[in-house]
Amino acid sequence: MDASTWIRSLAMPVTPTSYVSKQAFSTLYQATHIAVYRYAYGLVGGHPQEAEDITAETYTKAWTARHGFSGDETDALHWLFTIAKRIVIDRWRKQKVRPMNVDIDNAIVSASDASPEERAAIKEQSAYLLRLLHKIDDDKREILVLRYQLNWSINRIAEYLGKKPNTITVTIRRTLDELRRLWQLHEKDLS
Amino acid sequence: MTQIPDDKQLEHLLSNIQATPSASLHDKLADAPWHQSEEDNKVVEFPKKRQQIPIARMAAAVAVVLIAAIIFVPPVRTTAQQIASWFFPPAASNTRSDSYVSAEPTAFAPQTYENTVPALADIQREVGFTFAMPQRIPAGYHLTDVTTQPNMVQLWYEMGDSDPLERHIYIRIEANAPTQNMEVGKDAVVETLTVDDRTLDYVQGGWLTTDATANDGVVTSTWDNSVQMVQIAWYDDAQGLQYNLLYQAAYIPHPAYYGDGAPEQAGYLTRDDLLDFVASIP
Repeated sequence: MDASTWIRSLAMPVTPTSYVSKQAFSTLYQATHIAVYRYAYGLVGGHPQEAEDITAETYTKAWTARHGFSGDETDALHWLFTIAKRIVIDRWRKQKVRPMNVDIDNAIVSASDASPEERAAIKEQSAYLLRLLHKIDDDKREILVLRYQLNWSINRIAEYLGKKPNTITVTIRRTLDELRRLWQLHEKDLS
Repeated sequence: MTQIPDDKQLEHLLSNIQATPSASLHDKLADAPWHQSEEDNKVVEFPKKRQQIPIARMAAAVAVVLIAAIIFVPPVRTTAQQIASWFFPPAASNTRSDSYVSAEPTAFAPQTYENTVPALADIQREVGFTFAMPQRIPAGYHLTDVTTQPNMVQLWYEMGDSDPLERHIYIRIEANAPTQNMEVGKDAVVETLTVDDRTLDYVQGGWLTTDATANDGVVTSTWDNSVQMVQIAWYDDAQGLQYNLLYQAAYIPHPAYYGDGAPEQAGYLTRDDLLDFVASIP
C-alpha cells in the first residue's frame, strides 16, 4: 500500500473507532442494544422473545468479528443492523413459514395522554398493523422500521441503504398506501 | 375495527410502537465476554489466525491521524541527529483535506480465538519472521491483544478495566514491507533520537477534524500538537523489520475530551517512559 493510501485510510475524526476492548464493546452494547432490539422486533413483526434471541446473537457474532471492524458509533450501528438482518433472513429461511401472531404487550406504546379506552384501541390497532407488516415486502418493512421505530431521518435511511432520499420518501408513501389497502382487505380475517 | 386510518394516523401508530427488551435479554448475555471484568477473566483472547488485516485496523488504534514532519528537535538521549524525518515528513501546512472513506460494515465471518496467551514462538511462526517483544512494560499495563498476519504482528498493551481513559500502547512490526511514512502538520515537532544504537523518530500530536461527515466526500483536519498521542517509528536494519508504536493517553486523546487531568492521572506515560519501553525491546 502506498503512503498516500495509508494516509487516507488513517484520516479519521476524533471519535472512538475501535471496539476491540471489553470496555469499548460493552459501551457500544449499552449505547446500541435498544436500537438493535427495536430493529429486530420490527423486522420479525412483534415477537419479543425472537427479537431478544436475535439481538443476543447479533452481539455475540459482533464480538467475534470485532477485530475486523472499525468506524464510529453510527458505522457500528449499521454494522450491527447488517448482522441482525442476516440472522433474521437465515431464521426465516429455516422456518419457511413466518408466525402471524403478535405480542404487543411487551412493546411500550407511547400514548401517555390517552384515556385507558384510547390506549386499548391504540394497542389493538398497533397489533393489527404489525400483522399487516408481515404482508409487505421485507425491504419496505425495513424502511418503515428505520423511519418510525428508530426515528431515522429520510437522509440517514437513504445513506444506510445506498438509495436516494427521494426514493425513500416515495417508498414510504407507497407503502403506507399499501398498508391502508391491506387494512381494509384483511380487517375481517385478522380482527 | 375502527375506520381505516389515513397516512398520518398510520405514521402515528407506527411511531407508537417502541419496543424495549425485557430483563431476559440481559440474562441471555450475562456471561458475555464483554461483561466480564479483567479480574474475572485473566486469560487473554487472541485471534488464532487472521486473514489480511485491513489498514483500517491501524486506523482503529488511532483516533486521529498522526502525520509526520518537522526537521529537527533537541535530543533526549545520547545522540541527536539533525535530519529530515523519513517516517514523518512535514506537510505544507497544518491543514489538510482528505477524501472521506466511510468504514464499510464488515461481513460477518466466524473466527476462532484461543483463550491462552500464545507463546512467542507460535506468534513468530504465524507471521513468518523472528522478532522481540518489550521486556519492561509500564506499570499497570499488560499485553491484551495480539493479531497476526503474514509478515505483520500487532500488539496492544492496555491497563484494563481500571483505566477509565482506556490508554493503550499499540505496536506494529512488519517484515519485508516498504518503509511507510505519515505526513504531520507543518508545525509538528518531530525528534530524531538515538536510543541504545537505535535511531527513532518521535512525534506527539495529531490531525483533528470536528466534522466527521464529509462535505462532497472531503474531510478537512488541522494538526494539533496538544493531542495526547505519540508515535515512534524506527527500522531495524539487522532484522529488516519496521516498527511503529502508537501511544494514546486517552481513548479520545484530546484535551477537549478528558480535560486537564489526563497527564497527571495514574497510567500516563511520559516520553521517558515510552523510550524506556522501546529500549526494552531486545
